Amino acid sequence: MKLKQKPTNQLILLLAFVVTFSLLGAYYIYQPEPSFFSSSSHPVVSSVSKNDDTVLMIQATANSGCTNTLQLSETSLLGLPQQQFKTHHSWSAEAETFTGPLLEDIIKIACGDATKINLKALNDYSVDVDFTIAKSFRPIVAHSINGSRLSVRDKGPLWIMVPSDDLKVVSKEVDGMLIWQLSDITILNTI
Amino acid sequence: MNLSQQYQLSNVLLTLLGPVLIVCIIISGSYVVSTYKDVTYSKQKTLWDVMQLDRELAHTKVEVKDYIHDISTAESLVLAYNILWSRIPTARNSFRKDLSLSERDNNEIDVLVGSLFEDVKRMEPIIVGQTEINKIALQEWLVKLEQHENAIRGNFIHDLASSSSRYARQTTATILKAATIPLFFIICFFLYLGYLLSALLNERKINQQMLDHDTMTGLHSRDFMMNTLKDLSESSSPFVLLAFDLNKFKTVNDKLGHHAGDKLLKYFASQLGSTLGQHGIAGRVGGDEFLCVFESTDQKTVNRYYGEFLLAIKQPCDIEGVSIQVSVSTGGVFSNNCDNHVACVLEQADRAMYEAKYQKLKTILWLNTDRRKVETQTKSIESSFSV
Repeated sequence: MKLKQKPTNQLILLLAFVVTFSLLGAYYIYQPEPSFFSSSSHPVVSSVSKNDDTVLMIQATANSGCTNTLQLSETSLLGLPQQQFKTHHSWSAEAETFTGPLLEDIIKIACGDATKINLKALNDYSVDVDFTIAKSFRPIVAHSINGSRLSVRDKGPLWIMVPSDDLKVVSKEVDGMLIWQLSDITILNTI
Repeated sequence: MNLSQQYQLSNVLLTLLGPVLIVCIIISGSYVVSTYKDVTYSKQKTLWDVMQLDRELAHTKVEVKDYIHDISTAESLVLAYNILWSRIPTARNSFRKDLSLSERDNNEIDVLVGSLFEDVKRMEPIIVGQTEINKIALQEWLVKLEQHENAIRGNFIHDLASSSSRYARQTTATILKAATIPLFFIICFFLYLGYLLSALLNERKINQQMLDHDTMTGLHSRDFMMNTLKDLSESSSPFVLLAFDLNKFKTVNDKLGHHAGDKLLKYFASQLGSTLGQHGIAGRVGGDEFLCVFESTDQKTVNRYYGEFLLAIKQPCDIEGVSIQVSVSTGGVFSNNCDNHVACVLEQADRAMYEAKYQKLKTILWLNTDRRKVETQTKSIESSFSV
């Protein structure tokens, strides 16, 4: 009689083993996507007209806790501390060198510590970005690629870029934030 | 030494195979998930880029019309033109990266988008760097843009969005192809489980066989006999129990050695098994003690069986040159004498057997009469011991 219980015990053990491993496997396989950026649901309408030499305009919404408006010309953009790195990205098979000031520096000039920003492109496409998280990717506002200035045709004049290779991030995680043909930044929230 | 090492190695491999297979399933499963994510991501990107291309085409068309009607400036047309230009290589790049687009699809799209790019490039000297843009050339270009827009919408957007298109089938095929690997491992794992289960059941069968049989004589074991008696008594079906004891077995053991004793036991057991064992259940319960259970409760029938057995052991057993005549004392009892109680039946069979030994009886001594007679018989045994 005792013998009959033995295989059942072993089977239960085996089953527990399988279930545990399957759960571990499912946990391993399941990796939620990051979501620190989202397509903007409220288009930001600019109330200030751009100067002729403005390449990037930084504004703030009324309830963001910041009232500054900053119009950056090409010269003032180039006057900021510059960063340079070589990285792979989703729009090219080869690694390319990008040059430009840190996005964080530009936003600091306008509004100090922003927590949420909106990045808008020439074709009016825009995304909202949680800047507290995005900051950690050290994004730059690139104006040059491989030493030459970005034209509208090669996704210029400005392009948000992160050193994906150095940070070892998967391009998919940050692609949504890498706005090209950047023209406007709107501060949505500050601390 | 070598053999046991080999055995241990195969055991270790067998134990490791399960976890290894599970790890393989997990790894290949995560590969399927990542393939699925890649496919959906590239599909999303393709859709996004083709929509953006379509949008810029429409936007450029509006700008061209506005310029022709003197509503907008050359500057904004140039910007729209440049944005449209920038969209084309981006879209081409996404299409090339799309896992769901086969080479054939890609070639078709490349021709489609390539001809659009040619038409866009051709306009560069007319649009860029001009203060006054040739409106007739713009008008012609507008028609071409319209054609390109229709071609992209008609051929490509429809194909991307439809669930029965070649594109959708290719997507499914890519994922299914990736899924074959974990499927293979899952099948392997189930085969492994099946093997383990069959090995386990086989082991159990062997163990049960060993438990049920006496290793030396091959007759049923003591445990098996006791369980059989218990089952019979619980089902309250009447039975007959015979108890055997070899006469002068100790003498054989002492004079010829244990080896000879074992041979004698084996001989006796084989004769018992081939005669009474064919009609009932025969087993060895102790040194030279044997039991046999019959479900037939007819005394005559059992006696007849016993006659066959006696005939079988009449032939002397030849042990190391010494011919030994086996003689046995047998007691028989009917279970209904004891209301089917196992302990009682066993005790009475034992008593009957000792009585038969005492009386040097050749036949079975039956305790099938009433209890009083048993008691008197028992008393006679006891008195014989006390003398």
